[in-house]
Amino acid sequence: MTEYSDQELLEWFLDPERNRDYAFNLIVTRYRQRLYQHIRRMVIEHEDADDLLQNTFIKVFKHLGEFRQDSQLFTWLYRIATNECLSFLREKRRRFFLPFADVEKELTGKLDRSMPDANQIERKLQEAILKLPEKQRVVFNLRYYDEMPYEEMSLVLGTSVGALKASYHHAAKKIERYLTGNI
Amino acid sequence: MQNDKELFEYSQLSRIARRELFEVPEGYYEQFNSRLRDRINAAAPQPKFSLRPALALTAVLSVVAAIFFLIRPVVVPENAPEAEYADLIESGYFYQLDEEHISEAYVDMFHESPSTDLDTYLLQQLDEETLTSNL
Repeated sequence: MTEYSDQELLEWFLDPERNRDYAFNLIVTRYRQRLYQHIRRMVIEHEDADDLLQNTFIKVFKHLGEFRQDSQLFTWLYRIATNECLSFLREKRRRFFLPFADVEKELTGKLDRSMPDANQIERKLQEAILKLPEKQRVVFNLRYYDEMPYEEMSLVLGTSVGALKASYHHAAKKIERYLTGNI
Repeated sequence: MQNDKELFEYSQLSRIARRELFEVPEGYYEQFNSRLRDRINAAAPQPKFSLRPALALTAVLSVVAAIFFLIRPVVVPENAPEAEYADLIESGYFYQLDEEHISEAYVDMFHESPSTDLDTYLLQQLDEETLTSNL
């Protein structure tokens, strides 16, 4: 299969003469796995992640024509997916009048079922990540798992590079303390 | 890796192998596109004829018409001819009235204007029962 660049797929999608559904399908195929993992790390449960991933792509489909291309398509997709996750968690707290700690507890309770192959230290790492404030959790996950450069993270989260670096190191320090049993 | 250096100072964290831990149902990614397509199609607005605006318009017009007929003044043309007894008899409408109606109408008339010659005569000569039975 010919490998199209994001820019080519975008032009294809916007061209009324061509089959935009096919172009969209290629975009989904390219990013579905990465975005799924990003969302899943935030909401833990598969059903929630699946729902949010679909919502993300539905929004992409609706608004791709308005995409200004002042950032990469990939960054824009991450921004939509991240906003979906944060809204979902906020809504969860609001609907059940839950404080942050209870949501974290609920998500931690789902870890065993969601990652049956994880060893003890991997499970503990996930517990530690879930103890972080949501935005710091996004920063940590994007840097640690997706290895996203700070400049791109800055576009995804609308935060300065300096603030993101500080946030990542705070998060890493908290996790390290948790892993060494000092918390 | 780019952030391995960053993690150097975090001994525990740097020892953990980074891998995707979350279990994904088999065939999930392969089926995802078609499920997404179904949802997009279901969410797309379908052009359809709606009865609601037509019903609303009919209801509004009915109310306006009802109000118009209720409040409009009854205009009697100035040159409209007055009905004579003969006209009434000829029209046949007279035969649609029963005795009771005529009797009641006459009694009402008597109370309103008892001074006419006919009234006086009739009241002197006939009682109401005779008058009603004759009519």
